[in-house]
Amino acid sequence: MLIEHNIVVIGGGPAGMAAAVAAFDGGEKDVIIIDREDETGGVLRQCIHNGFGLHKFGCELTGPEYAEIYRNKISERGIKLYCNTTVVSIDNSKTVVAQNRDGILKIKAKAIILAMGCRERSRGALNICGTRPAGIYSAGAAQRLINCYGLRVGERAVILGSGDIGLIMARRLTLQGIKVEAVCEIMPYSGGLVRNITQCLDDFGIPLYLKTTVSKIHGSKRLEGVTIAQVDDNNKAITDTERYIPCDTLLLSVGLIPENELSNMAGVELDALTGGAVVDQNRQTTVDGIFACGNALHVHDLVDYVSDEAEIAGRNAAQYCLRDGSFSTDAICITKGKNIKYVVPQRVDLRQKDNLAIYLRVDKPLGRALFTVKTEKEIIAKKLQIRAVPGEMIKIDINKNQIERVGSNIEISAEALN
Amino acid sequence: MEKSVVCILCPKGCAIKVDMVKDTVKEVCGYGCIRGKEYAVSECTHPIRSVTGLVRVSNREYVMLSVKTDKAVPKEKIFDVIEKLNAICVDAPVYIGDIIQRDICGADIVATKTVL
Ligand code: SF4
Repeated sequence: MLIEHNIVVIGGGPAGMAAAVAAFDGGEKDVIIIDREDETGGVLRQCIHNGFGLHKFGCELTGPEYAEIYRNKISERGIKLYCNTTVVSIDNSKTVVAQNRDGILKIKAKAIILAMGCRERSRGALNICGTRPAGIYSAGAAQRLINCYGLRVGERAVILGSGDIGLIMARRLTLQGIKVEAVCEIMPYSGGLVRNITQCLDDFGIPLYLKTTVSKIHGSKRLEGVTIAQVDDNNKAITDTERYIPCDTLLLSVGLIPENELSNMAGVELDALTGGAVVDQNRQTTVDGIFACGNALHVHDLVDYVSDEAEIAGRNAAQYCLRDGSFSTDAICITKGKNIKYVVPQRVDLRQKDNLAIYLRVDKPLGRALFTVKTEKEIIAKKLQIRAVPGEMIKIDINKNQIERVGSNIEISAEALN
Repeated sequence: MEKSVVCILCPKGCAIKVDMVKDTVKEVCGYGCIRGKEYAVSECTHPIRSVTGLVRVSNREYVMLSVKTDKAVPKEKIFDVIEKLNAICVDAPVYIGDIIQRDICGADIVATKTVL
């Protein structure tokens, strides 16, 4: 069955929902969302803790509450949802093939918004030696088992990785009566927000061991314990610091990877630094009419910023449809300079004379830092940041008057100030 | 005595310094906004936390109802709240915003999702 819809949003998480709403409000009413789960909301469904929405709604919400706001916006607008439906392919002519219980769905779209989110790095990516017993979970999987299904994942746990999900899960396990013996972080600093270290670890006296990893896994059927060890400057375990911790559960919170198999199928150019698509300020990818946003584009630390970004993608996808594909794919590049891990967007279409917001992450903790945005000829913007750490995304605004003067590629760099 | 407090009210996580003489606050500095100042004072006098948790749904299998306290409770009461939540079992349908139980350690327990 071939059907037609002007905008197809792939993924009904926070990005997909906000993008669909923005596209609708931007004047393109024929928008659909496809999601493989039985309900929209994505990862927010399992994030039962609070701290969402401060920036967007001025109050502290839990994940399910934040999702509910967007679910209501979607139903108020009558945006059509295809749940329990998996997109199996897309191509550069914007044909979406999806599958659900009713069979195969072929949709011809004018514009596609990629909002597939991200997935967790697994044990296989880490090369931890030892056996392969039960009891090793990615932190997000454990979060879902506990918060959505009410299952008990174990009795005594060690967590590897101190990103936000690892920290949040340390608290959740503790509250659910599971003893958390340690959180180990291979880097010399935590990748999570400081507030999460305070309220998830310090509140409960859970130790955080920096420059420490799990060097061995023990147990045959069920995990019996792990060996942890400090690492040297090459992240190699130092043997004489090894220590055995008995535990039946190991959570891995070791990074998130944007999900982009579909983007690849359509020939969308990916950025090796973000793991997501290369986009311009409209969040349009290198394939005309295909847009990307949310964690599929780059991993965010705050859902509020995901919503903001998705709104940009949604609005511009609507514009694209209404103006019948008049955007140019010809643009200048924004590249990372010293101390920068990545920048989004990577390209700027200079024909649009709007203020420009650039999002970036630093590649190591800099403390107080000065960011400089420069073209080949001159500096066009500077920003002083009180604290620049890799765990927190930084936004730099460039005034449209400055953009007008830009004729060449832009480079952003950061300098630590004492 | 000077105490350091990391504000948890927003993702900025300001590092706030509180100058205490015995149990009274003399001076607060380093906060990014007025809420943070209040937080730092409460953190040094009587720390409080909002609690989120889970409640079982008797007539649904493998479904948990996520809940929260409608206001912060004393920090040392977190585990009391959780223990009370573990003892609660509700019947679906439950709607987001429903009050599941009143006055647990001074706070009401509110559903944060809908279970039909
Ligand atoms: S003091 Fe204000 S700005 Fe700073 S973390 Fe607290 S709430 Fe945020």
